[in-house]
Amino acid sequence: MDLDFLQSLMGGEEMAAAETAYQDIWVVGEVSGEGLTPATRALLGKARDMANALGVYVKGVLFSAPESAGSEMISYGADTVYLLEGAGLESFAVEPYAEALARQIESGRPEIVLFNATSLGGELAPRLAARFRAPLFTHCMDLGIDEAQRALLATVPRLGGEYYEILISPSLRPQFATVEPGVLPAPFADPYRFGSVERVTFDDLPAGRVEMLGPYDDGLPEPPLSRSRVIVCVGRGVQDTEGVELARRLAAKLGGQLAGTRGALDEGWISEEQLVGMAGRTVRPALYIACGVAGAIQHMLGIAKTECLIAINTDPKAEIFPYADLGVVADAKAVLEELNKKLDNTPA
Amino acid sequence: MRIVVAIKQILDPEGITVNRRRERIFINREERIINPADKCALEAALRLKDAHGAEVIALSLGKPAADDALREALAMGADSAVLISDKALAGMDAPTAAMVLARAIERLAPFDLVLAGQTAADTGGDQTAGRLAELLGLPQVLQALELSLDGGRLQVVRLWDGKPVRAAVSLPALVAVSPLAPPARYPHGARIMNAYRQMQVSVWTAQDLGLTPEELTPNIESRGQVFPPERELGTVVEGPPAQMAGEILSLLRMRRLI
Repeated sequence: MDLDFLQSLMGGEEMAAAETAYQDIWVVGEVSGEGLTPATRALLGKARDMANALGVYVKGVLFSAPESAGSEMISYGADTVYLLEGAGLESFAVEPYAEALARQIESGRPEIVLFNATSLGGELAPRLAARFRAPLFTHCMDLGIDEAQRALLATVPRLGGEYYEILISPSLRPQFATVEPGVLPAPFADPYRFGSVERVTFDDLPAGRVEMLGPYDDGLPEPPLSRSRVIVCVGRGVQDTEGVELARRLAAKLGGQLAGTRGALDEGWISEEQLVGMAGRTVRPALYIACGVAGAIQHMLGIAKTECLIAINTDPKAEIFPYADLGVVADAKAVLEELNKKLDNTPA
Repeated sequence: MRIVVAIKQILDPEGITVNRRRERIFINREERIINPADKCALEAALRLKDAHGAEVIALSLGKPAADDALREALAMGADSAVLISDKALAGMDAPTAAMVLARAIERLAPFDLVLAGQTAADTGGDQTAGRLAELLGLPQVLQALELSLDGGRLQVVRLWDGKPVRAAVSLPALVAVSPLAPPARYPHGARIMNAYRQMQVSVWTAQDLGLTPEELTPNIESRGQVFPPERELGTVVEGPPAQMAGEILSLLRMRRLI
């Protein structure tokens, strides 16, 4: 569809007189085993909505990806997809990737370029933004359009997500943003959408100067508890070392760490470093699962800034329940066993 | 070897509470600290200094109070400190701040390594390191956990989408250190006194860096704050363990915690 026709439909003169230099919303996508990553699909859905509000195109960008991924981007809302390829782009290296994307942006002049807030997005976006002297909004939890100023509205987390701020760059273009995976809704694919997939080959990209050497298997020291995002805490109510072991396994499955109360420390189930509370560590995790923990004030003071507190205790009158997002009246050890079983059965 | 470490002084987030119902941010305890990830960057620099010998220069862009942050860096073992402070630099946005820092770092050339914290604990910002690398024309390694030097080549253990991987880069380079990296050493009491009494913090102004007012005009505006909904507490359920495990997993999925 010819852009002039679109613009005249949308009440053209004003839009034409406004920022015609930069136009369209681009989505830099990522591919995993089965095609586009879910985050990329969600980003396309959002880009499509915003592009409809602005009356512009959505263009997808992929690096060294198969044609099928390009077609998938079309089905999720892209009008055109650029498959960037060439020497240096076979696997991720920020300098050739940034150079290829920069050249594509220079020729295409998008007004908005969106990435996922993954390591790829986190590496590419700041370099591109610096190159174009452009604004970058990272870890966006939501995106919107200010139609009066024809600008992106980016909702970014502050204080680790305790509140959010809405930012806008009224005049600088392009506008770059990385979006937190999993916050945008999953869109629907329309396999009948039309669009074009173009291969763009680069043959003179700079070499990447960072060598990626593979996974690090030696095991890193555990980060301090105060920086842990997920904590499973044991109190006397887990009854014995078997219960503690179940809690430890659950923590590992959830990508978190084990902690305990004063009672657990006295029983010899945890070390001093794992003690949470007034006499121990203050923590601010996204998730805290308190197993067999009564909820004494000394402990509760250490977990005041938890985002989601789940408490499991056999005593329905346990002090911890009024502070929990979810209280479960049950035997902690038994529930831990079931949680481990269910997580083992769920494919990763 | 010359290592420049960029640090930022922030208000300690531990002293700040957000009241969701009243949609207000309360500063209960106004304590200024070095941004934790930047402190990890200082620690990484000092470990390299301990192992191989290096000159460590601490650099900060901030208000005059950031002098304390630089004294702390000196007490930890930095050899010199530079504060970029100027009324003209008040209220900068992220792109401008990166540009100012890059100018200052260029002025400290030659250097072998630039270190910075990956993320600012107050604003959540994590773009400065990447911007600096581009502006300085350096290769970048982000989310670093451990650094070691092998000949002229830096070996880094870093996170890639949450998993630790190994990378290597020849100097000069820029490395952004993750807040999950080993925490910093405590400065010795006598060293803290020494940092204030006997060491100098150089102060640079916008003019020293040749910055024009046009370059310093901020371009990003805030449209206000949004507060997450209040947590609904006190829900209690009861039932057989398998069912309870199911309830817990449902909640975790709904909250996107798994």
